[in-house]
Parts: sequence; C-alpha cells; structure tokens
Amino acid sequence: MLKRLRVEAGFVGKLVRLNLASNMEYRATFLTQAIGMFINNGIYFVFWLLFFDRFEEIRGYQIEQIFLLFAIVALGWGLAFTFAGNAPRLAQMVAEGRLDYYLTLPRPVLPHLLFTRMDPFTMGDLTFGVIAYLFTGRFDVISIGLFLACAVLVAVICASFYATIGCLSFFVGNATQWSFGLANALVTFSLYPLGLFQGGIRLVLFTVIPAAFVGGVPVEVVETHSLMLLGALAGAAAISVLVLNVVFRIGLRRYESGSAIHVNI
Amino acid sequence: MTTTTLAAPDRGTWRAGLRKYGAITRANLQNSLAYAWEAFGQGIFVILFIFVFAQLWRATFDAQNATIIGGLTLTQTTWYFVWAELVQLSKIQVSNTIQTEVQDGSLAYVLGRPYNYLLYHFASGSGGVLLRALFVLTFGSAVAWIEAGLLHTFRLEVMPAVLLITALAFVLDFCIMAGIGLLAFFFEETSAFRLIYSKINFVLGGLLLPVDFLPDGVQTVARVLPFNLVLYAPSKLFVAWDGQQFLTMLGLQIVWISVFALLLALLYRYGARRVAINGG
Repeated sequence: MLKRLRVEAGFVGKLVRLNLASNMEYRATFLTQAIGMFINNGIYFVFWLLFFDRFEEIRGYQIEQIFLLFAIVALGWGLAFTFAGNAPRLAQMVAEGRLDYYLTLPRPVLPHLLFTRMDPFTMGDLTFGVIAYLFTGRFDVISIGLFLACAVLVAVICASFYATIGCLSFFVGNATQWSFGLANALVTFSLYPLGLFQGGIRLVLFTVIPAAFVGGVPVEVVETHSLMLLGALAGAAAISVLVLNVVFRIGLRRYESGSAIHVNI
Repeated sequence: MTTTTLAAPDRGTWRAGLRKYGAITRANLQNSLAYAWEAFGQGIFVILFIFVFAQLWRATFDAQNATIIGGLTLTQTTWYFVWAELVQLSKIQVSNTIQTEVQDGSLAYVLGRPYNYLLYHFASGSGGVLLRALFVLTFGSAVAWIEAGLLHTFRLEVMPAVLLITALAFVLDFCIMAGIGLLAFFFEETSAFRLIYSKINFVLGGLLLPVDFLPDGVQTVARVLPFNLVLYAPSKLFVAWDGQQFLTMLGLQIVWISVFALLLALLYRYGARRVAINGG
C-alpha cells in the first residue's frame, strides 16, 4: 500500500514537472496570465482596503484579518490548481466524453485526470498569497507553520470541491454552468468575513459549500493557534477527498464516451 | 424589356442594415430561448450575490449605527446591487468569442461575409441579453425584497431614462470587451486583460460598492474614468433618480462610447490586415 502510494506520488510529481515545462514553452502567455491573476487579486483586495478605510471594523474583522484571509485563500487556491489544474474543467470534460484517454491508461483515473494540467493563472495566486501574508506581520514560526499547513488543507478542499461538482456532469449530462456557479459560490463566500453569515446559511457554508473551511476557519487557526481547529480543518479536507472519491466512482459507472475525436498533447 | 432583381430595393441603406442586424438579434434571441434553462441557472446565482451583499451592508449599517451612507439607505443600497448585477450578468460576452475566432483563424472566413464583423457580434450578443436580464431581475428582486423590503424610491416614469442609460452601458461595455478580444491579434491569450477589466469594474465601476461609498480621492478618479458608466450610472439612477445626474451620465456615456468605438474600429482594421489565410 505504502509502496503503491509512493509510486503514484512520484507519477504525480512527474506530471507536475511536465506541466510546468509545458507552460514555460509559452513564457509570454504564462507570465501574462500569472501577472494578470496577481493584479486581479490585488484589485479585489483594494475593495477591502477601501471598505475598511471607511468602516474600520465589521463583525470582528479588521483589515489585518482580511490580509490573512486573502493570504490563505490565494495560496490555497494557487496550490490547488497548480497541481490539480483539471479539477475546474472536469464538468466540461465529462460532458464532452473526454475521459476515454485516461480510462485506457494503467494509472488510477482520478489523480491522473486531475493532475494532468497546470493552470498558468495559479502562479499569480501563489505569489499573491505569500505577499499578502507578509502584510499580516505574523512572522513567528508557529504562525508561519500554521499558515502553510492551512494553505495545503485549503488546497485539498478546493480541488476536491471543484472536482466533486464537476462530477455532476455524470448525472445531469452537462453541469458546466452549475459547476461554475457552485465554484463561484465557494470563492465568494470564502472571501467574506464568516461572521456575516448566521443561521441556516452558516450550516451550508460548513457542509454543502465548504467556504467556512476555505476562509474563516483557517484564519481563526492562525490567529488563535488552535490545534483543535486545525484538526477540524484536516478532518474537513479528508472528508472532501472521500466524498470526491465516492461521487467519482459512482459517476464513472454512468459515463458515456462521445463520438468526437480529441487529441491529448 | 424588364429586369428583375432578388436584392431588396433599399439594399445598402441604413434601413436595410438595421433590418439585417435586427434579424441577427432576433435569431439569437430565439436561440437563447432554446437554452433558457442556462439563463435560468445564471439567474439563480444572482440570489447568492445579492444575499451576500445584503448581509455585508446590513452589518455595515448596523456597525455604523447609520440609516444613510453615501446618500443611500440600506434598502436603496441592496436594490442598487440588483441593478448592478443585472448589467454585470447580462452583458454581451463577446471578448472570449472574438479571441477564439482570432486564435483558430475562423475570423478569416467571416471577413468576406456581407456584414460588419463587430456589428454582427453586437447584434448577435444583444439577442441573449434580454432573457438573462429578465431572470437576474426576477431572482435578484425577490432576494432584495425579502432582505431589505420594497424600493420606496422606485419611480416608473423615469424608467425609460434608466433603461436608456442601461442600454448605453451595454454598448460601452461591448466596445471595451470587443477591444480586449481583438488584442488576441497581438497576444495569444487575452483572459488576463479580461480579468483586470472585470476587477476594475468591481471597485471603480461600482459592482462591489457604490462609487458614493468610496473615499473622496478615489471617488474623484472613479468618476473621471469610464468604468463607472457601465455599472454605477444605471444602478444609481435606478435607486436614486436625479435629472441633473442623468444628463451628466448620458453626456459622458456618449463621449466614451465614441472614443472606444473609434479605437475599436482602428484596432479591427489594423488586426484584419494581419490575418493570414492559409489553405487546407
């Protein structure tokens, strides 16, 4: 089991290296995309700067918490799609019958499928996440360690969530729009202070759309150094991977290939 | 001896052109009706955005212990976002289409067709706007009503003017987005430009917060730039009508549309010369 895991991890590592090399072949495009995403995040971030410049505090959040929130979400996001760049495209790939290529190869389908592509935008997210963290002023080893651990767990949750909603295409035919909307919901809710949402919607954010585990909870982990909360975050990450595996397995049984000819380069 | 012609007698006139592009719009409206479920899905997601904005601004008004911020009440602010989302989510999505046509070379095939490439895309894109706007308005209004109550400042008699500003906002946005799509002549990929434009709209355009809420210095800059004329102008007039502001916004929209339309035409002309047609 352990040997198998090591082999598969090595395979994923090779895929990532190949993806990076492939992206670097188109350096200008790669850099434009990465810088574009950095500026994109920066402009969104400006909203909060302007907001707190005028309103100072909202439900326990000040600009310092927003720095941390953006740092964790951006780094987590960046890590997720640097490695699993196909997760956001899964709905379309299933709808177009493009899984045949992966089904014929002697590798586990899901990891092979997810890790075959690197999104060039993600470099902008990674850089932004690190720079945003520098503004938090938390330079002690424990905070940095917790920040990095949270970012990795957030990445797992993001990639799993994207892939899971992509699996909806197995069941409804073409779930591209729905998957896009649900992904948007995850991003939107995770980038707002968790305290804004009360009642039933809070329950949704801790379960169906796990935005609380992508934004609010990691911020609290780094702020309070709570290992219990970190454990809860790790649990959420594990559950999201489990849910993805179950949904993908069930969905794959319903998969129908398309008649279009696709070339995988 | 008599000769018969199949061409319409007014061929080449502006009236014939109007009929031609009108037919394109109608065809695409029918097409979007066939995919109404997709527009419905998009409308559903506006519920999410309006809900989030309503929570954020309710908390902000509470924290400030204020009934009016930047000249708007909480109800007006919530309804402001309904109209802003209506424009944002119903806009003509032309940039990506043009980029793809430039990238895969299909642009070469349409150059010889009897229509203006850019006007074709405008007419074609306009067909889908109406249905998307209808769904967004329905769902958005429902959430705003539940969260903030009815818009007490709504005035039916000024709606034609608000709709005019909204229509011009679509035109202005089209000019900018089509320009970004045409940048594919020079850059392989234009999505970064698209993202930046969309995020500028978020802040300086008034999608995330009305321009009146911005600090004074930023507000001055935002009012000079064209981006506030796409989202802020129609949304502000919808919730807080002001005749003087309407005239100013209308004048500015006409000026900026002229500027961007000229730039777009130049960019297209320059780009079309660079198209290389290969056999195959």
